[in-house]
Amino acid sequence: MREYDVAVIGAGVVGLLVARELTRTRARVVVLEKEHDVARGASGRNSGVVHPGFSVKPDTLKARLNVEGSRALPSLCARLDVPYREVGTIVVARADDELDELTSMEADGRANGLERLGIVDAVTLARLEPAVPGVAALHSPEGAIVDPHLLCYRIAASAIEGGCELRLATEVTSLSRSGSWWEVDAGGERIRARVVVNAAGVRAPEVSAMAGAGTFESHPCRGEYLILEKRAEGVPRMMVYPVPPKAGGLGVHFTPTIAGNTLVGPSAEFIDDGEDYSTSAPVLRMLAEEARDLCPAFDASDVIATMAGVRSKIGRGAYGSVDFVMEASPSAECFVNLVGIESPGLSASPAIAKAAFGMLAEMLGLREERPFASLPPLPPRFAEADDETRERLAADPDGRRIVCRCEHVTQAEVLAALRDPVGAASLAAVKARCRAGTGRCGGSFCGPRVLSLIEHEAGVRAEDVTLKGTGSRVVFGPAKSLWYASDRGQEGCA
Amino acid sequence: MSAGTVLVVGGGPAGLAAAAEAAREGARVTLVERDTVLGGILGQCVHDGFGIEMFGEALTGPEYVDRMLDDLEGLDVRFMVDTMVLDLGDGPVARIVGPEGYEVLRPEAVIVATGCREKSFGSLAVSGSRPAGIFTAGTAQRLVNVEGLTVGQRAVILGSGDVGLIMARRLVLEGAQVECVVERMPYPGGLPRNVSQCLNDFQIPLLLEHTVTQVLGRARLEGVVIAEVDSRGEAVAGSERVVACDTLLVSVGLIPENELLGGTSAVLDRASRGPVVDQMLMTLSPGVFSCGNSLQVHDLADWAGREGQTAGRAAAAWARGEQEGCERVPVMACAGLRYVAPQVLLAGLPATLRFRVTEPFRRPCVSVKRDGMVLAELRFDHLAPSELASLEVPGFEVSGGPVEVCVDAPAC
Repeated sequence: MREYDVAVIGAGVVGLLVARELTRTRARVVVLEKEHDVARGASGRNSGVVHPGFSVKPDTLKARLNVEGSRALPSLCARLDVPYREVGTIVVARADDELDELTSMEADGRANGLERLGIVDAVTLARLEPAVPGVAALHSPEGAIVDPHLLCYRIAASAIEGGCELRLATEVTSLSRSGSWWEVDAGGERIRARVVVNAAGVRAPEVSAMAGAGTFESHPCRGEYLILEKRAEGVPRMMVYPVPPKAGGLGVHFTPTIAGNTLVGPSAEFIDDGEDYSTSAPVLRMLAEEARDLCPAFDASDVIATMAGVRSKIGRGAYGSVDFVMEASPSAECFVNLVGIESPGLSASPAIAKAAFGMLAEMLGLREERPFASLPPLPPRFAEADDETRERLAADPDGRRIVCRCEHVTQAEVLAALRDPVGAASLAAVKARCRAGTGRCGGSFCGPRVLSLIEHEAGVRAEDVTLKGTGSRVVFGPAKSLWYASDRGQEGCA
Repeated sequence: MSAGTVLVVGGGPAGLAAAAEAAREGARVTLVERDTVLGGILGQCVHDGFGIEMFGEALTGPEYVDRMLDDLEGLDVRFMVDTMVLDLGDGPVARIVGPEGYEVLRPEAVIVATGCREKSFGSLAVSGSRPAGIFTAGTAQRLVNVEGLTVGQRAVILGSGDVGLIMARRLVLEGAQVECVVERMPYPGGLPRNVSQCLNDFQIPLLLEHTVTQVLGRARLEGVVIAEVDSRGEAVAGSERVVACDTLLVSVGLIPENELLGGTSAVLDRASRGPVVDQMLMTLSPGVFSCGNSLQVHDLADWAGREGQTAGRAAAAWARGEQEGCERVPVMACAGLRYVAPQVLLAGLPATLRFRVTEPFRRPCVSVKRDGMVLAELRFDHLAPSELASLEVPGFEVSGGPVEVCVDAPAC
């Protein structure tokens, strides 16, 4: 039976950062992830926003960790070669009766330690963000965006490079205490670990219950998004929020993405099944209406895709009033619970991981003995490269064939995604790594090509290639009437 | 590139025709095609019906391409396959990448013949998850006909556009069970001959005034929820029923692909979703031409080809330096017409106007007028939104107001 010092359950941003922290010690670490790829839960289904910390109530763990985490993210991103863009945030008051709310948020921000924060008038607002009319706005120039998938892949790569083991498609089915060990059944195998870290996101309450480590009332809250195409006109360039709705939450907002798209959302619906990532027509229509309210030039025909994520809320009640739970379980030895990590989870993640590391170091007597493993820099994206760089990239035969024609993703980039140390080979995994399939055609043109590349690279049959892991095969097998006799997909007519 | 050079972007029916004509007119032509073979979308169209106008025969897609390639035999056209034009700028200037590396080209003229894309499932407000098994009809066509793969065993088709109808039949021939074709409008979206030969002949039900409101299943599709729609296109509560299936083909519209023009001063017409052009098919970016599905969605490859020929001749003339300043007159599309192209007419030159109506008309009269004078008119037996129609207009010299194109029913 394999033994580890720490088993981390969940390869989202928090679990991966905890694992990465541990690579500076002698601890033997394994990350157990039930999905076929990292960041398949909330960590891959969010706005990618780094909140500076004015939208959280002061004197909460959320507030403290939000500020600490968001201050650590720029250097973490630089180190991992992950783009970090300070686009700035505005919270817009559209009527005079909303001004008090702005003042209150400004006060919260200052109480949380923010200095570069201020209320601007309608004229300044029009100059800052011409797409959004209003009477005044709270402006925070520090609001930033990241690509959460890329961030997670690089954290994972860094952890793996530092000696951490990552086991995908490995669901934990039972946890029991045996002497000074945890015995963990996962992926049909039993392993032992001295400490377990529960970073299982929306399933964290379940994992905690499985281990007898405490019960939490789980109230998953889904958020749906619209994704706008890159050439959408008249959309904001900054992050734009309305004054928070009375019902709670941040309201439907506009967020530019690192790739150049725009997100509209999220909605907020309490659901029963925390992994129900479906979108619903009425909610999508509501998002479009609220988007148009905020930004009159919004055009629904610019929507190229929709998506959903689920917030791990614990305890119902006024939105956002329940704090993070980060504790060594009082009812189970050597078990660290990181539960209820919803917004500002991404922003707070480096601080959450640091706090968790502190607990683990104490439990296991760990010391930092070596630096983080260094990672090779990320190759430039062909689509964003200048002429000179493109010439250089085109020296590689794979680097001069475009696979995704909407996003100008080359075959070299798709192959690099398939050869990534994290190692997931599905259309969704490729899409999240190199953007093939995220364009305006919705993957119609590149889908068959990526399928073919996965077949060849992973050495599997077409019918074994999945969209997003087990059970989601794309095709059923060879066609009855083969138009072309051999070398399927490589030869065409004439 | 030296004087008299024309770059054709796209090797489908429009691009191949444009290249042939431009070469015949003495231009030095380079055609860039992003696929590894020429032919564009025709390479995956194994059904026949292509070429009736161009060649007087009903050919399959690949056969049509072969004829076009025969036509190009001996002409001075350089083909660059597996090569993509990444961006275009005024000049014109083009950045391309392919087996010959990364290059910046400065031809005298560019013809954008990049075809169209399908409206994606993701852009529709259909409830549900993202299970595998949902394809646009064209992607399914590629997977079946070119990649030789079976996409599913039990299918529903959303949208009765031609591609959807063709694929309904194709799936049956591949041994799949096609449950139905679901169409939002009270009339089919595709050509009547396709409704007859693809659905009726195979007893595939066509459910008009219905839509798919939800997809079921998480990993792979398990079924769809179908509902009736009312006259406003809203689902009728209580009319929902589940149809079990593992495959959904989506054929709900084609969108001209002209992203490349975004880097130029070409202006798009929101109604046609193609660029504003004159009857020489030149956009508002000098030397940049547009033809085929990239300009406006065509029903027939032959017509895309004819448009390609017009663009080819015009681009060659432009590349020779024949850049006349003619009076330019805007064309206004009146009520009943979704759009008319070209949107600008050069005085003194004849024009082929192409247009689509917003609703079906019986025995309509389409007239082209200027300052009260009728320049051309034509009576049609019927017109439907799914049929691209055309009308020839002779050249006019008189200065005056814009040209108006109107449709009136009953007949004039």
